[in-house]
Amino acid sequence: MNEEYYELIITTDESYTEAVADAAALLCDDGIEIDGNNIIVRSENDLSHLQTQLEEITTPLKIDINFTLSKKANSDWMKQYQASIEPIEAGEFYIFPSWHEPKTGKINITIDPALAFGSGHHATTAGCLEMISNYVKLNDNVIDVGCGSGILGLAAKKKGASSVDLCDTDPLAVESCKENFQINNETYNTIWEGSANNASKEYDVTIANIIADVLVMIAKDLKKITKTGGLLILSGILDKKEALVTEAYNDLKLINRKLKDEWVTLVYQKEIDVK
Amino acid sequence: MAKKIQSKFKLIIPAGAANPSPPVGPACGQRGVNIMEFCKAFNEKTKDKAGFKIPVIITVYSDKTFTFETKQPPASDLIMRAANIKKGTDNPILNKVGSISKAKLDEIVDQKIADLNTDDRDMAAKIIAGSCRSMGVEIVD
Repeated sequence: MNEEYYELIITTDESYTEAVADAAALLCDDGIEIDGNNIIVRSENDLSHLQTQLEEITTPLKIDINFTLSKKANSDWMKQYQASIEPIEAGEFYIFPSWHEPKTGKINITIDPALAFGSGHHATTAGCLEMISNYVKLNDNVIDVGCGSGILGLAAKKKGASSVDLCDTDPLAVESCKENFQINNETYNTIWEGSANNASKEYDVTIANIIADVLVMIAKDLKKITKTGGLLILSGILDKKEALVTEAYNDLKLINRKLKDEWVTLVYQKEIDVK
Repeated sequence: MAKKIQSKFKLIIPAGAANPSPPVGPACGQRGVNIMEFCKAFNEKTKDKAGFKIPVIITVYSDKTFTFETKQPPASDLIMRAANIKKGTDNPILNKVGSISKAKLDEIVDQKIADLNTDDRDMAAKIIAGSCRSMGVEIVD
């Protein structure tokens, strides 16, 4: 890797961006970035010839276009990225990326932010982790509905759950979840691509960090798969949509509520059998 | 899970060859995208399109997870590949630099129609034919 790289920023009217970007992509061997009406070409090779070529093409068209060519210090981009990801603490849990060390006295979970949601950095995940820390007991049967990276199911397993099932409608999440359980030396009972209504048993704790509208839509399924006396930990709820969720679950007993940023996490107990 | 978008940007990069150097490193690194995870997933998804540059739209969420969507190669790339030329003309009226058959044009339309702002096949064919004309590539029977 060279110590410096060239950066050519081409700014033009948004209606010409695609066409100019296509021309730039054709004329240079490197990749390009499009951000709004800026086209950014970055290369370890001098880009002044590209600017000249693009000027030759665009000048006769009389379009408003501006070029800014500069030299920038190259960097270890992987290290720069890694430095931007900090571990987080939620309840008893310490969620850290693989390039950090675990923390003594905490329940450690390794998660690298990747393609499946759930790195611990979002308020909804952190809210669920705190509730798992408070409510999941030794030998509980747990299901994580909409598991994403599997972080919440992993937390439940590390808290002492005897069995964890997981599901997500996104096949990428299912794969990511399997990898994260392996990385953390934990095992799940069953994982499937699909929704909660494919569950074949009842659980002591049902965790669902999805979004309010979906929590309302699948309320009947989530209640059905939760044992009488069991708990539902629900999150992904924007505060302005909380009323929709509380109405859909008003036949259960609300036992905890946490607001973080604009996101609400609710814990319900299914006191009696509800349909 | 609940997702809140932090940023969205587009790259056009060689299929199967993303790596942490510029342009991918700075573009992804500055926005908190896991560079190696992106390179690995992008290269796997585009390995059968070697030789093309692929537009990819990357969405970064507030918890630093991300998704990406690959598009078909730019029409100009597909046309040049079909006409077996390295570049288009500097004067589409006076200098024709190559030709493609109508069947080849149809193949390009099949590939690109999902990326064009139309479901109308005839309209899509007109758009691609227009690109051919502006590149100095004739369409022959």
